[in-house]
Amino acid sequence: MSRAVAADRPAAGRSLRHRLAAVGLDRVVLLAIPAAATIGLLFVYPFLYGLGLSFQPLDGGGVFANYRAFFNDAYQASTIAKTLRLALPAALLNVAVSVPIAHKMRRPMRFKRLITTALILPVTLGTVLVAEGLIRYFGPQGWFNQALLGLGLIDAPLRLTNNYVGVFASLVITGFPLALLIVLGHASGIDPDVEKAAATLGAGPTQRFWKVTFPLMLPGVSIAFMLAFVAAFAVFPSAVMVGNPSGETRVISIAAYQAAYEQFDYPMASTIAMVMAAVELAVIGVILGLRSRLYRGATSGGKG
Amino acid sequence: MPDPKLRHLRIEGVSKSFGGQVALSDFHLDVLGGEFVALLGPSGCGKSTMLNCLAGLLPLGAGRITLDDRRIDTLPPERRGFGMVFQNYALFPHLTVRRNVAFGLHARKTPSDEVGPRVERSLEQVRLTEHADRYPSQLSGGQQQRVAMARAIVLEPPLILMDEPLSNLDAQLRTELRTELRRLHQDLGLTTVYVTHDQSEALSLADRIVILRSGRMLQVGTPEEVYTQPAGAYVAAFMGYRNLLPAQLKEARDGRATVLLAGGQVELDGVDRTGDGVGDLVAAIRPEDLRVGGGSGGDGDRNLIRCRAEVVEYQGNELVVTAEAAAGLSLQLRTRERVAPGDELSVRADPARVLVFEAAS
Repeated sequence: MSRAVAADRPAAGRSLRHRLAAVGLDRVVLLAIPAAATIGLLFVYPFLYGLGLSFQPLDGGGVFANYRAFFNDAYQASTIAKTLRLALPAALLNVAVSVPIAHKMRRPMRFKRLITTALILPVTLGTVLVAEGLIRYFGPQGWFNQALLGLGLIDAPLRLTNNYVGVFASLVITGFPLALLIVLGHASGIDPDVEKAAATLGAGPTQRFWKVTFPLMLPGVSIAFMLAFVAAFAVFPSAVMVGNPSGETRVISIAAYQAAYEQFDYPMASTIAMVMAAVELAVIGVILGLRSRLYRGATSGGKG
Repeated sequence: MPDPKLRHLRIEGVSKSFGGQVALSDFHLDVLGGEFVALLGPSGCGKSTMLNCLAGLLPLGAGRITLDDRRIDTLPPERRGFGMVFQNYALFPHLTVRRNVAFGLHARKTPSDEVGPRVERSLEQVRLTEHADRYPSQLSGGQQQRVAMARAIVLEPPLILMDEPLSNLDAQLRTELRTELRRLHQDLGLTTVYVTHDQSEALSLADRIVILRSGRMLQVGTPEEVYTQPAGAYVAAFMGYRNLLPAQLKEARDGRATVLLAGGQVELDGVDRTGDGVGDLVAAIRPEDLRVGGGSGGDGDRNLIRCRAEVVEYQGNELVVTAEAAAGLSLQLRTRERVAPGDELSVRADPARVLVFEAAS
């Protein structure tokens, strides 16, 4: 009916809004164009440029020479495992801790705003500031060790920085708030009556969590995990400052940095960046694959 | 009709406050097996609080609840074994209709060979067999609420609690589902406590109605009792007495009262329901009990009010007229006569249908 009416009028007389509506678009969608263009210019173009560069090794040897060099050099190739060893457990821990906290914080409770602020604060600090704090607090001369030494609980300072532990701690501090925000945002959309219904149907607290709440939280949990993982996988400042950048925390971004700014081998640096992207995409692919097998719909019963 | 699973639910002196605000005070009720009891009142009257206390979703402030002499108010909701139906359905969105209905059976560790047949039977009872494999979001509101009912009745609970189950549905579906609710209640011998703010729902469904206001019980009675003999002005207003006219007592004798309205300009005879208080009074009259074109009543000018039609609303087989009488007294009446705004009317109220209450009752 309305289509017929619209067709009767000359096309020139119709507004932009009507013409967009005819192809299923809203005018507001146009606001996304600058952002999309920026992504195109600042992300897609450098990415493709880097991809091209990675196939043009400085010393020749064929298109895949850089990739061969990276994977044949154990010192370089091991950075993948080292980074995964940091990023996967850190992301998992951040998400695992977020789930029970978000589950409790869905309900109205006292000091909720204060607690949220305290938990979210690390997001506003840069990773550098967090690393600084870790050195001052957990370093050999830090308050933590001094206090334990003073109390006579230990004889020598615990090694908590300049190794795996330091970097892992910094990843938890900076990654946890992000994970919590996402899980909490998703969990607050779950209708609280659903849990009450489960209770009246005879499900105890444990059953309610595993059979109802957790399945409904899973989509948010998987997004939080992916973002926490990607953020942790690109770890750089803390791996240098509170890690052991030539040993156990020589993460893949350090390898890329060294190739680019110490050896001035841009094609090799691009190659490492591409490997990094491939690993991230592989992990995200696995999560998305698992997710597609689970419920992904609304968190409340539809037309409420 | 099958035997109810419960003989006697007793609620004794239940109270509940939220941060100093009294939500429910001294609630007493005995529910017999097979009864359909409606808790009726506006939002904030305490009816949902009472239901949540029954379900175990809220701890009691004071009082006790016993089921066949077994104390249950200290049990968590999952151990009371009641069925509950929520206003917003509260279905599990990640489970199919069939698995929603089976949820309670699994939670209560029902032998697995029993689960399938019982789920199928409940789905038949709410006529949803063909939607068993859908997800809640693929169903209409009415269908979702029927799933919620199936989910509750499949457990054959001693008591079913319903918290405004029809409020989210459109008018036509509401009447349809109302009939279905009553049919299920009768066919399955359920005992039901039903919360609603809609008096027509309470009147049509319930065997007994409890009317609440600000956490207090105002009246308990059969639908006919609360409809024809409201205990006070507030209940009367809820039961369709749209005209609550401020009045002064002229004389009261033998259960009859004569009151003066509009500063003495109108005199009205009615049924004395003031008790022995001496406060301000109201005369309560239903719009349909005000008849246009008095005069010929036989007893002269008794209970005759002269007024002028202000607003006339057409409602199909009748008109709803808002009219103004002397001294700003506003009346609402229903009539089949032709009335136009501005018409001078004289309306008569049957003295047996005018109730005189204390204004604060």
